[in-house]
Amino acid sequence: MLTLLAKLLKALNSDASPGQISLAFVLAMIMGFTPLWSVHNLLVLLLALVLRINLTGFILAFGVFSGLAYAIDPWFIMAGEYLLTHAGLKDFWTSLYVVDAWRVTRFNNTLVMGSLVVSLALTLPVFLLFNFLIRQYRERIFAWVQKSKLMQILKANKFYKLYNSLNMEGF
Amino acid sequence: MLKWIRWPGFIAFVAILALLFAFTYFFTGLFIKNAIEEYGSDALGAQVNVDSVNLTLDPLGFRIGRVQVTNPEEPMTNAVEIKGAAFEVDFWRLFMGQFIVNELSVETLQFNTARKSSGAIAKKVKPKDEKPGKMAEVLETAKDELPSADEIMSRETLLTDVKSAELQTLYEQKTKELDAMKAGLMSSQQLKDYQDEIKTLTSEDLKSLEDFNQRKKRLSEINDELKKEKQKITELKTAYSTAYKELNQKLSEVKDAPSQDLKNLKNKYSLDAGGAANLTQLLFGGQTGEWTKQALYWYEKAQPYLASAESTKPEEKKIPRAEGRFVHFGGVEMLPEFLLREARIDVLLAAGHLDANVTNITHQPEVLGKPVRLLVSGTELQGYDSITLNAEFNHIDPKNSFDRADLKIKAMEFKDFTVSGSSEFPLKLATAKTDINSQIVVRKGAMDLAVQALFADAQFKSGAKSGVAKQVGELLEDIHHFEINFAARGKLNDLDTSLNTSLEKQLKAALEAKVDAKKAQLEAELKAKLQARVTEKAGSYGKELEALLSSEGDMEAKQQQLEAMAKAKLSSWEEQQKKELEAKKAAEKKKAEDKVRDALKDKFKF
Repeated sequence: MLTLLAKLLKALNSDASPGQISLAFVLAMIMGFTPLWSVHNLLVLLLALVLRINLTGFILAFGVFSGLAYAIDPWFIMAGEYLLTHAGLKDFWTSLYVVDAWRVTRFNNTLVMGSLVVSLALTLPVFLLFNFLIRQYRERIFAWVQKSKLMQILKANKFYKLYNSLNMEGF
Repeated sequence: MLKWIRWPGFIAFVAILALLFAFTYFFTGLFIKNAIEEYGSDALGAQVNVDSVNLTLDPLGFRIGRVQVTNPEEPMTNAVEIKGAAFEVDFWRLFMGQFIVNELSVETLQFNTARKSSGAIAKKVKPKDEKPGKMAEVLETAKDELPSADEIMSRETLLTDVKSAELQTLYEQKTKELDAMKAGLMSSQQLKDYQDEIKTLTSEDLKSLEDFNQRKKRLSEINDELKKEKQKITELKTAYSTAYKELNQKLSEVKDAPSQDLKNLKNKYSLDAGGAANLTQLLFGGQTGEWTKQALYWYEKAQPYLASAESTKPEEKKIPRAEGRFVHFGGVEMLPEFLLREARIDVLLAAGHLDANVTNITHQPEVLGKPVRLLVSGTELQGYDSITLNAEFNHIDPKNSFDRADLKIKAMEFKDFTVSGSSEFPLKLATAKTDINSQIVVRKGAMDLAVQALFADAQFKSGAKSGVAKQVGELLEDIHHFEINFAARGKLNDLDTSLNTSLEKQLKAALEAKVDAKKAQLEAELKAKLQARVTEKAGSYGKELEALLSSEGDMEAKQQQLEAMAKAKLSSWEEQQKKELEAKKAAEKKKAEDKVRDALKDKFKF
């Protein structure tokens, strides 16, 4: 866990593109918010592995978003219920429902539908938000953190040594 | 753009999928095997063993090796054994969270096969009840061999004897008391002496006043003695009366005792008609009861799996994350999470093969909207013309669920079927052909079962060598056609069963006649012997009581004699005094008259 955290800090503090980290967070959000054993998550996993994103950020963020999901599942279900039972969409859903391949995606499950739609809707805002936050971190917080007394103390402990060892490895 | 692509990531993705596949391929069978064994054993209370479960890919399904389901009551026997089974799974439905088996074929299902090792699960085994068999109990009360009157008389403590002994004791006690009282009375000589003395005192002339006073005093003393004697006689008379009453009462009890003895002995030694008729219940009731018990046992084991999952789950299983719900849009068959569309089972019995077909097995029948159906049939069977079982387990509506089954067996052959293994009454049905029609409905925990069995060409063989059992055996050997009707109704844990057979009437009538004849003979013998016993023991007491009554009469006469005696003497004394007085008066009167006459004669002398 410490290694993962150290790696994430390293990535944040490196010259890596903020977009790569933000995209990792976005994909992790989709996988974390939606039920894990859903077909669309295979696609998310494929994207996470094939696209050059920060995998450490992806794994850590997946844990965080999965935890969050427990708390907000009821809202996902409400959203899914609303969409799947909306009279105007009934024909559309029915046309999907009669196709086996679509039913395999379990789109007709209120939690799958609600969490996936909310996740997709949040994709761009979250991507932009994380991009902004990473840039702000690098410009304002990173230099201040380096000079802080707390950082001096931290530099003396195991975590910092681990962090440094990762730098040496040139991740 | 290419800088955003990480090609090794694609290889990692494929590797992850390959790992998942390999894990599924190699371990799913093991997981299923363990799940069947663990869950089955827990549910049954005895071991369920599965040799192997292998995943097959084309078509996707599983191949199950030998399955053994231990009979919990007999751990060295399998209640059910399956040689092997195979089923196909709807692959795409797995992604929809559904486990749909389109067809299951079960190869050679057998019942009651031997196990190589015990299938018991470590638990306290309840020891079998060692109570004597009911047959022994009933034949014991029925006394299959009635003893003779002499044996009964010598074996039993008779009320006649007890009461006779009591009478004898009372008689001895009373005679002793009366004899003691009689000894205190005056003797006849004493009484005669008193009588003579009174006569002397009252008959002789009084010589003087002193003589009168002396006699009066003596007479008074005698009267006092007589009064005392009279009192003693009164007391003795009362004692006689009391003794007579008590002895008479006891004698009545002695005379009544034989009839009471007879009643008691009849109850103890007779085989009443009800007992005889109940023999058929005993003969066939045990077997039918055992079959019903077995069927209920397995039904109760299966019942939770037949019922709707929603209706049987006591509480919702806690889930780690909300699951949402599936919204169905029509146009597609609604399927539950688990469904076995059709199972074809080859059932191997001693008689041959039966074809069993089960459809729509699911724990969510309300989703499927179809009941579980079972059809078992067999035609080319050894010892049967045909067997047909048609069952429906309908739990579509949890509030109105029911299970029903119709079983028809044609010309089932019985050969050396043990009807009663009791040592008191061993009975076998050597041969018979039976048509069985049975209907059962279980609704809301209540069962209604009716079984009709028509027996033809029956030949009973009884091993009983004596007594009533022998008689019943002989009667049964002459019966070749009969009918048994068994019914069980009520709550599953509190069934009210009834068994009627046409044998009952025939047996009842024949047994009643035999038993009645023997009872009458025994009754007459007992009656005569008891009467003889009474005569022997209490016969003389009648005369003794008459003597007592006579003695009481004697005392009464004696008392009257005494009273008369005392009264007569007193009366003679007064009369004598009166007569003497009157004589004296008369003499004085005559003397005066003579004196007057002489004076007048002198005066008027001419």
